[in-house]
Amino acid sequence: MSGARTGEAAEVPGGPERDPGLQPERTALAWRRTVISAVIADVLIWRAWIHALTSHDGADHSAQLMGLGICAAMACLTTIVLVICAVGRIRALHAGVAALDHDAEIAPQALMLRTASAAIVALAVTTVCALGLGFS
Amino acid sequence: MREPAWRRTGKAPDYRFSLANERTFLAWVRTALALLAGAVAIDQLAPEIAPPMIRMVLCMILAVIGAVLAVVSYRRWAHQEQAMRNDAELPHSWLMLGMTVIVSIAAMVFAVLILVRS
Repeated sequence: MSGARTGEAAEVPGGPERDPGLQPERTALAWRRTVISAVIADVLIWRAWIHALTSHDGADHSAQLMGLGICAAMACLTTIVLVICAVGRIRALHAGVAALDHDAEIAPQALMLRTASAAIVALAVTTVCALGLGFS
Repeated sequence: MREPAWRRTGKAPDYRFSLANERTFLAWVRTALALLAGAVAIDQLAPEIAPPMIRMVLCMILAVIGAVLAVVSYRRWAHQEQAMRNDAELPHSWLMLGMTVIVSIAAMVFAVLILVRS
């Protein structure tokens, strides 16, 4: 895909074989896959916490348990942020199908993608903290 | 909800290219999430793979790469959209080569660890 081609496509009338709803649907599915990936990362961090909660070796682990609990809550929070982005985006994609051929309102907002990106960075920081806490 | 200034330059690209760019962003985000999940999974599910210190450092490296990748994926999306808005050539990116090298190195490191431990 070269940049020079971006201009001409807008004028192409929808042929009989083209389904304008297909592109938004693929994009909506990509958001859903992304949320599922985040939940998998989440569950593993939760597992670290539950694992620490249920292991009894006599020593005092209250600080570690508290830290891992905070990590689990943070992981949950970042996933909620991602879900809010995904739900808003999927809704906009489905609503925008009718307007596809005359304007580009369907493009994502930079702020939304930035928020999604920031949520992943926060989840990465949480992961590093959980790894460090699990070690101690 | 203020959009960055470059969002008002040039003309809006065709929706198919906008959405393809968005899906590429999401694919890189999922790669970042896979690195994060992989880091915790190795730490949690394969505690015998390496001495604890080495295991933790390796897992943390994976998680940090995941964080960097999440930022890079947004920057890449923004640069691609800017190029499309101004009818410019899509910018060259070292991201694909970089991630190929990183994933190969990670695979080799963990393969060696599994061989050594067994």
